[in-house]
Amino acid sequence: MNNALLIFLGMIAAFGASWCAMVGQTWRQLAAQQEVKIVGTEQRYPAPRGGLAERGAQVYRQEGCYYCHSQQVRASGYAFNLHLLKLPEPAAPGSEADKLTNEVIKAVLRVDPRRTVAEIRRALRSPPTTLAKLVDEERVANARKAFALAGADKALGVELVAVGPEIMRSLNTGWGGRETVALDYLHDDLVMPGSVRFGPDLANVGERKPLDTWHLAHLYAPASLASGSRMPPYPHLFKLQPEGARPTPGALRLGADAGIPKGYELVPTDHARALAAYLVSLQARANLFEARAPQSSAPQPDSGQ
Amino acid sequence: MSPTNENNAPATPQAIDASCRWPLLILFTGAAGWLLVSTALGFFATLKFHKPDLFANCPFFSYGRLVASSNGLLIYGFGVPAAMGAAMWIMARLSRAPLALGSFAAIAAHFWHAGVLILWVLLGFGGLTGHEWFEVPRGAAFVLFGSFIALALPVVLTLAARREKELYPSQWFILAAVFWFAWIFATACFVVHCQPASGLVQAAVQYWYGRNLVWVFFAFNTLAIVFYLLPKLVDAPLYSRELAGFTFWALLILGSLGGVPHGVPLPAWLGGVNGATAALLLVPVLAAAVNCHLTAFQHRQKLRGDTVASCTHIGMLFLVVGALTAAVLAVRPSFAPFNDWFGLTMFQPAVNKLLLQGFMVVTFFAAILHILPQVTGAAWPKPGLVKVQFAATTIGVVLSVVFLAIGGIRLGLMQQNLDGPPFEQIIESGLNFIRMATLGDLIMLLGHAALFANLAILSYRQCRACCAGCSDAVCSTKAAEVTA
Amino acid sequence: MNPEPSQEASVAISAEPRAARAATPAVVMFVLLALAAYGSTYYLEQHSGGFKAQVAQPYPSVAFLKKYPPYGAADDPISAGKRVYETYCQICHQSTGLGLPGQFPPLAGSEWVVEGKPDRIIRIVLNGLSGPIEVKGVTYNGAMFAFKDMPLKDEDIANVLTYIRNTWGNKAPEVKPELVKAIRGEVSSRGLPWTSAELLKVPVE
Repeated sequence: MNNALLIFLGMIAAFGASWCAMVGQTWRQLAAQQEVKIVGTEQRYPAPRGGLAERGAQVYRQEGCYYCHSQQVRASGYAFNLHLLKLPEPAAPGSEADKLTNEVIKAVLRVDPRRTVAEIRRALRSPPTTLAKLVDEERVANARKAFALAGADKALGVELVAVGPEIMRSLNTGWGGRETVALDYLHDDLVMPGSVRFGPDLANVGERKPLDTWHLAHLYAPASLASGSRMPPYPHLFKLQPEGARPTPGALRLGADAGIPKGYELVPTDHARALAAYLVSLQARANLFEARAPQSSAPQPDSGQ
Repeated sequence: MSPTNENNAPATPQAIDASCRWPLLILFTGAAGWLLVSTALGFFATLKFHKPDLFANCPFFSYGRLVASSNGLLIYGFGVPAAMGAAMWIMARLSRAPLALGSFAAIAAHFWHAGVLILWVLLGFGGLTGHEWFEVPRGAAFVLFGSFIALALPVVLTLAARREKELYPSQWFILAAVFWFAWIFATACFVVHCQPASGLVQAAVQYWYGRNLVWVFFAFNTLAIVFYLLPKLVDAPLYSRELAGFTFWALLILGSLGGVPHGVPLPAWLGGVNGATAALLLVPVLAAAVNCHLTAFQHRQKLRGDTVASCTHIGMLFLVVGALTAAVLAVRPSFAPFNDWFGLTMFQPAVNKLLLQGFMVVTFFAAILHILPQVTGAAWPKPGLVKVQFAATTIGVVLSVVFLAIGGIRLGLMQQNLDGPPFEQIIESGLNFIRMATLGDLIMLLGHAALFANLAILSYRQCRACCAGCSDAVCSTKAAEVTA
Repeated sequence: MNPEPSQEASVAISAEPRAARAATPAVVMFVLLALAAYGSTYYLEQHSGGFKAQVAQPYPSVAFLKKYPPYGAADDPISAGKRVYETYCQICHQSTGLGLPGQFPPLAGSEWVVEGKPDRIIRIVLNGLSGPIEVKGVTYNGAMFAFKDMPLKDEDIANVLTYIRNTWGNKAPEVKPELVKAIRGEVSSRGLPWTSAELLKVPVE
């Protein structure tokens, strides 16, 4: 390897390969992505964020929020929920449909032997019930076989779900009902996935904390809203001004523990408002082909905060 | 690029050193200064964990801007100039030719440092880019790129004008590193600042840039320095040229293919490829380590007590451990379920610190400590501080990295517990680890201050000597270029 | 071509490190890398999603996603109703079903919603509501607009009403699309929203 020119040509080839594979191919694939319809609806996804929220993304960038907060919900793996769907109308005893019902009951008992016949009959008459949660692919295949034998493929609903400690199971755990995918950020000119979580993940914060007033209060005095929070306050995003005869529209109503002296009011600047609008717009929960949102009971967001 | 100049006699080391003096002094002293500022800013940032209200009224010192500035100054203030300084000198020495365009390089070094100052100021006023690996605001980007081309030209021209036909491995590594930085920096600048594509493409390119920056640019410079210094210090040949060649090509291809961690909202194949190549690049890193070990092991008596050798060894150790931990972070959780314990916790900054403050900084210390005395012909003004620098930096890095890593794993494990305490409480329980890491940062700061003190005094004396009388042969670069 | 190297020059040459030749370790490492690269193809098979943009982690391939199509696309009235609710009703009545005090009445625990027969709420959805209405002891004086001319099919209305009757603690029999169709026919000539007094006259037992 004494010929510097040959080494140089080799370097160009290596760089070209790396660029084409990592930059070029990614660019092509992402450029080809388009809006899709949310599964089962006519709604297009994703919706553009809107002017104030887009400005808010720039404020998020300028304040360096991504050094403490991430915006990526990650799944560790996947599993399946099995649901018993409703069959067509209950049939006269002895009819074909009734025989079908009996076959389905037998199939369900094979999948989940703990249920009783009466329970299964009740389940078949009312809206769907869950047969089994978080099972693996083998059990799904067995269940499908059992229901196919019974001639009732349509009665078995198979739901693919993502699993992992970050997938929301209840109000207080997890960061989102499903993992975030590229489609969630289709219209964004600025995507900041972050790399470390000293603060909560924000990919779905609009679902957990849907009120911009909460975010504004949190930016000014984080410790007053989240006990033990290590987030520094951002007073330069607000104006502390003496109260006039009437409160300024948009002034925040905060308690004494936020540190506002008597006779003063706190007015958020445009930057703060934009940032709050951006945070409220951060939601990634639509049910898509590539990212399945849970269809069973989903946790409800905080209300009234 | 074969030798073409009429005078084919190899230049003397003294002549080569004299031609490099001013560019290196400017580059290294500025680098040491920026390193001190970077570590100080990082230290202030970690203080905010213990007292969030610190500097709250000053947006210039908000946490995000402090960390961004700290990272930016570490990479562009210290990393690149130190790398280019070492590259210039090693390339000149190995080519047996004086540094081409020496005065031009000195001016370019000034421009580079001006660009870094602009970078810091712009970051402080909110010019962050949105991604930690490419924190170069638009205003600074063009100045830095232009200065880098100006710094790279002497390296490449020196190689072109070389008087020794056979290429030593360090020369391959330097050639690759220098071009690579220009190419990746240009790509990242174009995609981020000219914004021809959506935000996700920008994010993907920035991850790719970060990976190439660490595993091609900095790793190659590190290997160039280590492969040059170790055989020289033990006065024995490098164990295997072919092994070095294997390391070169394997690390070039594998180090550049990847970057996007798993879990980021991008297609799955990016994370998959990243995991595969991160694990595979353990092989060329192992090859480099084997090469170094077999070169130096028999002669290790000669290296006892030599700070440069210690820096080289510790740097290689950090490189190997860094490669291991980076591979662990990169493979996918469904392949390695323990990944959930590490990802997006303090473990990530620990690995970054191990890579940048670890192998990059310590190896470049070895280069500075070896090169400057030869190039200036003067000994270190405060030799005691050299030992302090090495010891404090190593202890500080180890302390900081180990505690952040353990803290990160512990927090990750706590987050696995589905019925555990809420998130804020988990983070609060990690504060003790951050406390120890802050202590490590403080010790590191001490080491970096020691380096800067030495370099500042050395530079001052050189400047005074030069201003005092240019008849002094030690001073004149032009004279050296003529005799070479 | 080169002049005889002088003493100084040979010192210059030998002062720099040399590299010895030893090809065996390089071959060993190359073989090791080749084996590891072969092994990594297994990893890539599982974790690279077939290099398709549509496959996000943790899924292995597009074929896998097609094998298990999105749930809720099948006839499942509650999920279908939930989607309709999120599109049309959530803005006012909120995802908690609690509405907004003073403006939009709650649906959770509302006596209007869980009546034995859904005739009243079908009418509210089709034609809208205006004037005061008392829900859970609180009077709301707003307006709800009509949905009969929206792109909502009978089964969509039936599904969303089934959904609200079986969520947030409500429990009531499902609503059939045929009933919605029948009531739509009955009120097709009516242009005005309902008032609370008129609705209370509609039998629900």
